[in-house]
Amino acid sequence: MIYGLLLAGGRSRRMGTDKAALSFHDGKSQTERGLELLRSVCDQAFVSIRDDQEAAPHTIADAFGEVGPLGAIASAQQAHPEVTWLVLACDLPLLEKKHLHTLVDARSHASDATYFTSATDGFPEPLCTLWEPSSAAIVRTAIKSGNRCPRAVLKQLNATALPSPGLWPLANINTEADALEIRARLNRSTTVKNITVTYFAQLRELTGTGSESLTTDSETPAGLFEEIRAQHNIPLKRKGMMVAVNGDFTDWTHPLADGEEVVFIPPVAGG
Amino acid sequence: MFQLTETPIDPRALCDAVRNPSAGGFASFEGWVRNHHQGRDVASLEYEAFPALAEKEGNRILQEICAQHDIVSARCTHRTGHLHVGDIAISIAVSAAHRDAAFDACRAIIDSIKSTVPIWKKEHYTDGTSIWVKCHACADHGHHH
Repeated sequence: MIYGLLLAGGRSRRMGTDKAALSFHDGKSQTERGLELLRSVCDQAFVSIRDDQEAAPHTIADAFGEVGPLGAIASAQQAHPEVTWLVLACDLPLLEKKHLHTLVDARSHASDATYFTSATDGFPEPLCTLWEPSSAAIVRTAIKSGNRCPRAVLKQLNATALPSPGLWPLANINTEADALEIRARLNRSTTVKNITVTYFAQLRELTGTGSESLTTDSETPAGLFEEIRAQHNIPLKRKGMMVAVNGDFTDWTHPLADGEEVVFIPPVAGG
Repeated sequence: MFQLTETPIDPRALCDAVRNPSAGGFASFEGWVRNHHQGRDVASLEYEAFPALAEKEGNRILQEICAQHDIVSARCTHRTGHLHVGDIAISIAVSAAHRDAAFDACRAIIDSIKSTVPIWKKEHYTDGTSIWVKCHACADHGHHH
């Protein structure tokens, strides 16, 4: 039996607005849409909530304090230890039923978990993952020892790793730029542009080049950076970085235009 | 005026550049290459800039801070390339009618430059390893949580 768990207890601190309530599909909130996706492949679907959120039918409150997604997974496993949990984040608007079917079809009883590999860094994607009952002991031990990283826990398990479904299906929304990028893809309004990217310092070393011309359908420097991270296996994250377009600082939401020159600026260290 | 240079900085030249009959106070700051960082022995440093934007942003900072304080003149030069222990990485010179403005502006300039001017620093350690400073903070053990 497979039960679905939609993770909706996050505080959306970076986004500044509740991600579960955002709407990308015909006025449906991400919570409504996530439950719909889960119900298409699961016997039942639940929403994970913090212990300070109002309980309702088919909710599972955090039973281990506010320790993030891993606590939510452990809480669900405690509530229904006999089932396999399909755990899904609420901020994946481009994820489709077919991706969940791929996951469920690949399920093996010999595995503790089944996950997709991340397109950007090759690590497990923890927030669209099947957690078998046999994973519960290691999940609980990790929480008790203060390890809250689901990716690290998946690495400890005897898990089945599926190839990445690509950069966008598992793209989550943490910022306004992510939301713009994702909406453009849902609306099929992306356009192809030629962009020159110049690299300095650690990015020059990581990419092995000072500059490259790229053809991209990203709408913002944020999307372009995710593509470049995946292409060059760059371990840097956008958080804490700045970006310049045509020689001036700009926002990550800047609408990219054909022929523009982009420079990504990791944390600076002059002086 | 903010400048980048690949050759050793002469702080005396910056001092002379801000000298003015109306200035009664002069403050300066120099950043030197130190032989240790976070408990590790540093052999040398490498600074790399995004030159066009570094100069633009450096000049914006100087203008903004001069406008906020009562400054007669301010200059800053930042070195790029390979530097050795004891070399001057950055030199700032500020002149003002009175000392408070000169001290305050000098401090504000170095703080701003460290936070937004696109210049990066690679530390080479005596054990042969090297690291881009601050980069490890955003790498977050190579994966995101």
